[in-house]
Amino acid sequence: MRSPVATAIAIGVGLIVLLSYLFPLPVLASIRMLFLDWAIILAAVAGLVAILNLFSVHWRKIGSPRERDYYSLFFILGFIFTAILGLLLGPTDERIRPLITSVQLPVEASLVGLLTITFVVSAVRLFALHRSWISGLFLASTIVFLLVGSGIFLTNDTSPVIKEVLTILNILPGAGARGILLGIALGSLLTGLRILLGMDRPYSE
Amino acid sequence: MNTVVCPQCGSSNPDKNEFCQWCYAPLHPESTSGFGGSESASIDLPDWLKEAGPLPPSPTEASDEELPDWLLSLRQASETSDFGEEIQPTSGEESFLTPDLEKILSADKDEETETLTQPEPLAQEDLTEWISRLQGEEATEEAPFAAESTPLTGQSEEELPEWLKALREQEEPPVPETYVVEGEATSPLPEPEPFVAESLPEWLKDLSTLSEEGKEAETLPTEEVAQGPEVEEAGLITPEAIPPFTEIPENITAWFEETPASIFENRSSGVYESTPTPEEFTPTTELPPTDEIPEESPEVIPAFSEEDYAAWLDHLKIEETLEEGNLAAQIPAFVDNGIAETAPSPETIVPPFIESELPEWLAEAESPAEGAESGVTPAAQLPEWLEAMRPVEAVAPTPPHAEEEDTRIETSGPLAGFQGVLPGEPEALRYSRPPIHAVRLNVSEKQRAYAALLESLVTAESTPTPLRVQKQVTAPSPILRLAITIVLFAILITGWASATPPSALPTLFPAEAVAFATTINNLSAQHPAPRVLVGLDIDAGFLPEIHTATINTLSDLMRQDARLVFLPLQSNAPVLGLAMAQEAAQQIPGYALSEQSVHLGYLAGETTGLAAFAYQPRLGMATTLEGQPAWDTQPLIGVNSLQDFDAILLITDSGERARGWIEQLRPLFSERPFLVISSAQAAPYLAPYVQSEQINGMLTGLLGSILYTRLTPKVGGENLALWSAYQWGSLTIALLILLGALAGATQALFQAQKSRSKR
Amino acid sequence: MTDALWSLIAFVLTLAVLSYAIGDNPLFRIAIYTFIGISAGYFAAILIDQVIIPRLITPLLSPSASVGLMAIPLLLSLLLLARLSRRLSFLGSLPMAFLVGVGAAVIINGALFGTLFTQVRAAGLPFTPAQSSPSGWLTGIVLLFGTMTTLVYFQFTGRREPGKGIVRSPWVEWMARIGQVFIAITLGAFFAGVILASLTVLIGRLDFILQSINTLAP
Repeated sequence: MRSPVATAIAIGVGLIVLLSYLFPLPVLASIRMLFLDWAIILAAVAGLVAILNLFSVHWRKIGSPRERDYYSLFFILGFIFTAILGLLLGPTDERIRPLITSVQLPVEASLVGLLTITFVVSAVRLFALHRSWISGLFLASTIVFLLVGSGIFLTNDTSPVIKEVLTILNILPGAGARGILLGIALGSLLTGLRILLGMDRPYSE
Repeated sequence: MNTVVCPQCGSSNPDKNEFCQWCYAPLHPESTSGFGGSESASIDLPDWLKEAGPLPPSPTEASDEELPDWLLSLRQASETSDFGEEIQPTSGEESFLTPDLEKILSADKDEETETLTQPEPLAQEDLTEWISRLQGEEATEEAPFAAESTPLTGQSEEELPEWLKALREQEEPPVPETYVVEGEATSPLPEPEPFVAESLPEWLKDLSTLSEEGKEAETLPTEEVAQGPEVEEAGLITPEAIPPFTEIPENITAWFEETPASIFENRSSGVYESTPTPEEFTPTTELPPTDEIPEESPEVIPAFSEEDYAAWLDHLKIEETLEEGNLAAQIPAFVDNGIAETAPSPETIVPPFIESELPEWLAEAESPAEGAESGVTPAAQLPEWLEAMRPVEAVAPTPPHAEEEDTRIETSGPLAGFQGVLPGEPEALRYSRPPIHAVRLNVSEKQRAYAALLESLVTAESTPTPLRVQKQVTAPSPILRLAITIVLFAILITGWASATPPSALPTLFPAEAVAFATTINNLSAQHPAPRVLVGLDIDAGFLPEIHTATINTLSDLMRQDARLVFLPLQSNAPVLGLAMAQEAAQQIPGYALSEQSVHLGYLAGETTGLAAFAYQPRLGMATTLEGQPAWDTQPLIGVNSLQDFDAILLITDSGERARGWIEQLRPLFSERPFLVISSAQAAPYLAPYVQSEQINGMLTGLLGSILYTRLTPKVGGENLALWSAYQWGSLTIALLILLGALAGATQALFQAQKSRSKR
Repeated sequence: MTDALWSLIAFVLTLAVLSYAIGDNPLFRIAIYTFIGISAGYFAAILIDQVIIPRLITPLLSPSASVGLMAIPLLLSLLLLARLSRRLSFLGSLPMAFLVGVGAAVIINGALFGTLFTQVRAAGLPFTPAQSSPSGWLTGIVLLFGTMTTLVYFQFTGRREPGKGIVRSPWVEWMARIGQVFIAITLGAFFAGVILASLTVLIGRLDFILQSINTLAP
């Protein structure tokens, strides 16, 4: 067994937390809160490790003559500037907020906006690439719910027949979404149990 | 390199060879242990006896008093025979060498060759007493121990195989005595001639020659006889070259006379550990007169001391007890092992000696032999010089070929009963028809089904399945992409600029939107100054989509003097929450934002953090964004659990993250409204939670903003420019997708027609 | 002045990113690299300022805090930082195991009590007497049928038959085919929602650009 200590930790901690949910004892609840608090800290540290790793990658790209990437310089500058400023002034300082509202938000929103064009182009070419009844049904559903989501049918001018049709149309994705939700929940349950039984060890090297 | 001429075939061999590389005959007299080497020790005479064969009898035989009892009995038995009467009884005052023997021994070496080539049988009178007795015993067919100790001759006449009987008839008169030597447990079983010629020790051959009065000499191959001079030239003395006792030429007698007693001493003291060189046998020194040799001189006698006799006889006795029996004594060495297993049972074996007649030393030797019956063969007590003379194979702890020993017993042919011989008949002749087995397996239906399944599995695995040819997905044409971009941008800008949506503003409202607006606007009716937990789980990129709905909702809550607790779960959510709260508060002038609202710190760990906050909010998030103790602020005074909040408002752009909120918080917050403002992309995902009433009200996207504005009329709440662009854009995209699908279908039809026309 | 500068920066960045609609270009790359750098830096500052200091460092420095208990997360955090080193990265498996173990238990609890039980119960809600109505029954049947067929579609186990590969039973095959219809419709609705969300954001960006042009233009 690879990394038996880590496996034992995962199983032991997980079982304690799970038992605290099933048996609401004060002692177990206290232990659970302690573990959850430690998990929050570790999650933050893990995020920090990820960021530092990203920084090191770009730092190497600047220094490496083979894979030199001058654009990484913008990453380094932006990272150092924001991190230092955020740590010195505080991340919610009024002088820092424009970095979010005037840099992060417009760029991120623009990227999302670009996705519109990508999605449309993909949908237009979909049937030409995959001619099947499921593709046709998918595209038909997309068109219908684009129209429904646009709100053009939410007027009094809409005939009662269309209203009924829209009502039924709204039910159909709800049924499928419920099935998908249940499938995801079952998958989560199974994955969690496999971790607690030591069958899955995503923490191993 | 020195070469040695083979006395057998006359070919030259390297000096180091012990056996002729052409005929495998022994090149040196010392190595004439036969093919069996050490294996034949049980039947071959001991080496000392081979060497002593031509030598004069030991002084122990000089007088009857010194003879052992058994030998005396034998002698007496021979004296009673007819033939024995012709032999002069041994006198006690006989010298070591009789005059006849002295005459023989005094002959020249050259004459020895003559004797070999033309064996001249000596008269019985010329023989010494013991030789004549020996000869007499052998010549007569009534050797007492031969008759007593040969179960095969006596009892097994009927048991003998046919081939053996035939041989006996051919060889009349049988001469089993020829092979009998005093002291040896022998069997007069007649052996086929080849065995006699090839494997018997030479001195035995000589004895047989003696017994047949030169008859054997006539049958000797001329080649063997003719090699005498060659041997002489080579200076070698081989057993073949040594004449039998009865034929000891005078030159040998002379040689014995001239040989000093020290030679005999050396023989007993281990000089023969090394192969004797011809020089040792060369009479280079003058032998003292025979009468000068003391009769009982220990220096002379020990060549055949009693211990030595005991040793080799002991060895023989052991083997005898091991039921190799009398037959073994006559059997060539290479079949010795076979005899050991095919010998008759001890009950049927008549011992060669009556127990009472056995000498003491021989009786003592029986004890280890008895032990051998239990499977433990005691080591023979050989004198040092005899041990040293043993071939290497005899000394080796395990014969190299012992493991490969053929245990198969010949069942037919002239070698029937022997072990380890080459098969007398080809194996193919023993072929018997193989048994016939049923080809059909006795299997049940279930087993057959499993077998069929297994076969299908194996077949399926080995059957090549055609790979699905993946259509190469090429990047979309830049022209198509640019065209769509231009069309879309043009429509959006036109719609935005015209601010004229294709349809009227919504007058029909989805239930979840109505529930949302109703719940928000009635919170104060149920809970004065309602305490609302606002979850900020949104990326900045999707904020524009729900920005309007969020601002309107927050302002409505502020209007109700709600105490707002913001809990961010995304890194940029704290700033976005602060910005939206300030923007909403601007619409409600009397609302004390700093007092009525608190921004908790960033909650890391997503689902784990939510679980901690859900069960113990004070421990889950203890500080504000500014790092101050959160639970001492005015909005959170009196809040100890999640249920102390009057409502939860989640602002999210992700259905997956919204699921985490619902799963972790909703079970502990089941009695209070849970409201969601989500992006349009999360709406279908969250629809089941709306139907299950885990979400009590929901606004999605820009449509949700318009709907909420329509439901809670506000001045300037409807951004017609955006709404118009949105509707036009939606319709355009739907149309583009439809056109794309139609184009794909048309292309498919054309391809089908084209393929049909090609056919 | 400062707001105008930030508005200009936002305007330039928006144009730079949207320029990708024409094709990849340096402006787009600079905007993206800068955006990622600022986001990462801000995220690091948030993590340190909002989580690590108040939850780990402050309790350790506080005299009344149970320093012994906080030593464990400190040790685990240090082990986690070892992941930055290739040689010592194996040490990071222990804190990761702790994180995964706790997360697994939390997910199990949430999936059971937050989704599975509630959604199964919700599937039967239309059939309760309180909510029974012809339209409610019809809706409930459609929802229940759609949910079941969707779940059946994700059942990929079957019997392997000779020459046919893995084969599901006929009724499962039939249900799965219907479930496939529901899934296609649902995914179509999802895709439409994604398009509408991105369209709304795009419209918001266009609105910002056009308003900025109106503002910045003399």
